[in-house]
Amino acid sequence: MEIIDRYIYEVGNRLPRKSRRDVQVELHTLLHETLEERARQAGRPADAELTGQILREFGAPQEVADRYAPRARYVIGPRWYPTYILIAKIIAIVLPSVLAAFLIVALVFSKGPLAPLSVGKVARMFWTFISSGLLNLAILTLVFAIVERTQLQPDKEEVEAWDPDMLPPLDDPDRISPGLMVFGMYAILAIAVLLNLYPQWLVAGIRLQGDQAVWGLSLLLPAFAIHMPFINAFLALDFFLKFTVLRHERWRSETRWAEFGLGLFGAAIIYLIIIGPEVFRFDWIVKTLLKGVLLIVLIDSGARLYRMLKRRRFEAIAPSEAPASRE
Amino acid sequence: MVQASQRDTVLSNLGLEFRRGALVLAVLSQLGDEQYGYSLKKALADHGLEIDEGTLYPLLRRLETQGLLRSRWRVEEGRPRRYYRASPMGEQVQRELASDWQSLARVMKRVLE
Repeated sequence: MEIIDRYIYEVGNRLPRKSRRDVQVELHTLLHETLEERARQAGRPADAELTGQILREFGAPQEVADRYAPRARYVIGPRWYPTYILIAKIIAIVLPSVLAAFLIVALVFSKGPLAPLSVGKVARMFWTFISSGLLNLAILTLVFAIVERTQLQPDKEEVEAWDPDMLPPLDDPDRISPGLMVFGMYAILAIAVLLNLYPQWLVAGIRLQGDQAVWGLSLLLPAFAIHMPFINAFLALDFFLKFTVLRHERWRSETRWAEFGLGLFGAAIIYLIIIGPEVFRFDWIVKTLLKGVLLIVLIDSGARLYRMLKRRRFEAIAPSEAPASRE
Repeated sequence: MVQASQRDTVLSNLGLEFRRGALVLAVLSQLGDEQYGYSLKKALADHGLEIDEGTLYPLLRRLETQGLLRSRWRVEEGRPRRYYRASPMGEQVQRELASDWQSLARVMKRVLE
């Protein structure tokens, strides 16, 4: 019964990774035994109708998962904690690597041993990276706390109107990786904080002053501020889109179209930056790179549009259309 | 109408609360011998205690986490089944709970008369 496998997959998807496999195996045996027993008692075949009836009795995947792992009020609960730690570790590796790279470049440019690079300057550099590390950790924690908080309160109407017909297929191309989606939300917030509060951290190069390498050759010129309202709007919409997709736990037709529209909006922003006034240090180099990015975004949007128009995708029944009960 | 629905909700919640503690004792009392979830459900039903799978299985896991049960997987009829049985601590807890239950039942009988 493929529908049982789909059901078990959806339940497992909502459980902490540690206990997922174990519960899925147990649930598999339990559902099949219940089905066989019920069919024997009723003297009827164990068909799709009876399976649907049993699954409705078991309840929506979220309800079943909640029985196995009741959701207490955590800042970051068991479902998300391993992903949180994984991303935090990645940040902890990437940031010091960037610091080391900057230090090496600074030493190379500073003609001679450490002497021109004063202790004070190195200390300031370390402080910048430590504070950026703490800031990233705060952003990451905030994103996970938002996700945890909102998933604590699943849509009651959706859970009540749940029906086995709403189960997506196992090879559902619209299934998402929740971890990647949360990582995307973190990246958006980190970029927003960087561009709005710390644009000076976007360093285009190291300025040489005599024998010393001086930090702070900012990539963005003050004129870049004219693009910020559009960029902020784009980031806010992208954050909201990822959040919505995460709530649905899969892509839906409307979110696919929203993603396509957002891609075009992003392309329009890049185009405006390219044709606009000088806003970057080494403006022509950056804008040449942006032309390449624009081309990639447009090709990607075209491919998305083609896939959306050609592919027949599974569409779950909206809760309002689902039968309340088939008893 | 609203009041009746509110009363039903309160009654249902109180009933669930009442039943929850009793289920732990009932389950422990049946797991002196090894049983898997479905056979345990049937054993309880034979005694007149119906319990749905969605309640029983998570309860078994919780009791195992608390050290009151032990479990192991066995493949039977081509299916992996998880067999549970009370741990020594579970057996001791079951005896003490059963004694508490009986004295509570006696007290409640007097209270309700």
